[in-house]
Amino acid sequence: MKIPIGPQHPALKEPVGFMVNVEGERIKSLDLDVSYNHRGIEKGVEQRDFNQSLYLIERICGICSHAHATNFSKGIEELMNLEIPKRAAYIRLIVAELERIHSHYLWVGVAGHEIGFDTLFMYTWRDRELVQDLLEIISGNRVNYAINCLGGVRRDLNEKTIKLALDHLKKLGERAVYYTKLATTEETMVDRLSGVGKLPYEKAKSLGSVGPTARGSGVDSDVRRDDPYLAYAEVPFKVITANNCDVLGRTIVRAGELAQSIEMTKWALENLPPGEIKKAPPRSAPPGEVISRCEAPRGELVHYIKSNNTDKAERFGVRTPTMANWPSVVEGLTGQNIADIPIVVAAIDPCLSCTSRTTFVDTDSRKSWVWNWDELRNYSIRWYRENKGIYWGD
Amino acid sequence: MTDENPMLAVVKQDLGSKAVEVTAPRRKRMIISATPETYRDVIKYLQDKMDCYHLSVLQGVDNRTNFEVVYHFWSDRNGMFTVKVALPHDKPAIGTITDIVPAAILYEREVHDLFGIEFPGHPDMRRLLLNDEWPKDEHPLRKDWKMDEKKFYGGVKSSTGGEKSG
Repeated sequence: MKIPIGPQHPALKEPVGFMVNVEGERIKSLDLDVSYNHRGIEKGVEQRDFNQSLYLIERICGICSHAHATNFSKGIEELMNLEIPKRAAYIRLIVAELERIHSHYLWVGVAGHEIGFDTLFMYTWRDRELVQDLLEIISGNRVNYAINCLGGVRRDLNEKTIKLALDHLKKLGERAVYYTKLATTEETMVDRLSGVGKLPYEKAKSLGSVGPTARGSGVDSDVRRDDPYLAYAEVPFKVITANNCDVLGRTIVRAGELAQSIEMTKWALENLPPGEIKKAPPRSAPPGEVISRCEAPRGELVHYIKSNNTDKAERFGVRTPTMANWPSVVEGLTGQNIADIPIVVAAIDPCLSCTSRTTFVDTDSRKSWVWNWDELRNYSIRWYRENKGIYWGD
Repeated sequence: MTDENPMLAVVKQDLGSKAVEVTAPRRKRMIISATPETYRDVIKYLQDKMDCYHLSVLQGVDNRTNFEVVYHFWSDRNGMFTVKVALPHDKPAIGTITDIVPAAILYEREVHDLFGIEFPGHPDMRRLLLNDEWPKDEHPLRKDWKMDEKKFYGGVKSSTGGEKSG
């Protein structure tokens, strides 16, 4: 049977289609379609020189743009055998952690919204503004910061900025404590999130989950600690894990990481080494290959770069954390309720900014219908209100 | 970046003739060239003896004279192991590893989609990233691929007669 999936809205960042096979309320199997937004960036990079590529790569993702740019520049620098100045490594780290903070705040808000807890959404997005302002002061941009350049960073930090940043971070630190408490003790939230989207430890390992999704299932891995880059070997931090193996676990991990990242940024700002911020890179890279990894807000990001003695890459391959986490969404949803789809999908923090169409097939009546994300979200909130009595009011 | 990988000698000795070449560019990085006959043994060895539980990604490379499939395995203790397998340029194919590494399921689809490398034994080989209307035998990451203006690559057909790619 052919199932129609509606046309996508062109403004979407990452549209993804689901084909859900249901029996009554239970999900029997799930198929996903990520083909709506292939932009051919890997091919594009092969045709541009390293400096032009950096601009292109920064635009792979709007939320973790710095992670992509950092990963690419550190890969190319490794190929060129170029060590960047220490101060530059610290500034890259500061921006990377600020990016993680704003990304996790964004996620907590989105998760709150998906389960009908809009107050949380308003709170976290207000706090997120502080981080966005800070990033704007540091780099000049609110998104796509473009702070990286080959051989270092583009802008330096001055005393005034550092003082302002420390001020903002103090406020954010207080809020992070509150959210951690909320995620772990607020009864309604715990009820709504625990046991949903089960991903056992063994499955998380074998399906190759990364980032908070893996750590929420007890997999103790973090690129920042296990394969240190920039200045992560020097900055003290703890890797947060949770053994809940469900959406609650992923929430606890993200809330904990918020607090850690705030502390790390503070430490880096206070211990910023003096010196220059940029070294002149050579024009081309000798032939070779490099696997560059970094811990993006959503998990391990891998770039595979092959050079051929010119100023262009021979091959540039990207594996984003969202890609690695799709199999765990399928695992987490099989056997669950339709009402759990929004939060389980949101729990891996896909770059799913707006909406995505979902087709439902009832296996008995062969009936199919299409829901958009809002309809699905409303159904989910209604279902939990009627069946579990969980509701945050009108 | 000049620091050495302490595991290099061990891996070299254990793999023996199964590996064509083993090099270590730096600590926590190792590159193993294998053949289509031995790559499964190498991957099993990495899983059992080197603690590589995580497949970071597998990717394709077009070297113009041949194709390469490149597997990146991560172990918390021993770092990143890259297994490279060279394949002939016409009709490249290599058996699936989804039976021993379930995480490979989407990555193999991606490589098949963009490079046209076959993975016999894969349970669900459909296009992954390109849209359904993309011409069947075209794989855009091949070096010799060029867009054919006359063909339709999906997206919206423009009303003026010319067809644009979405």
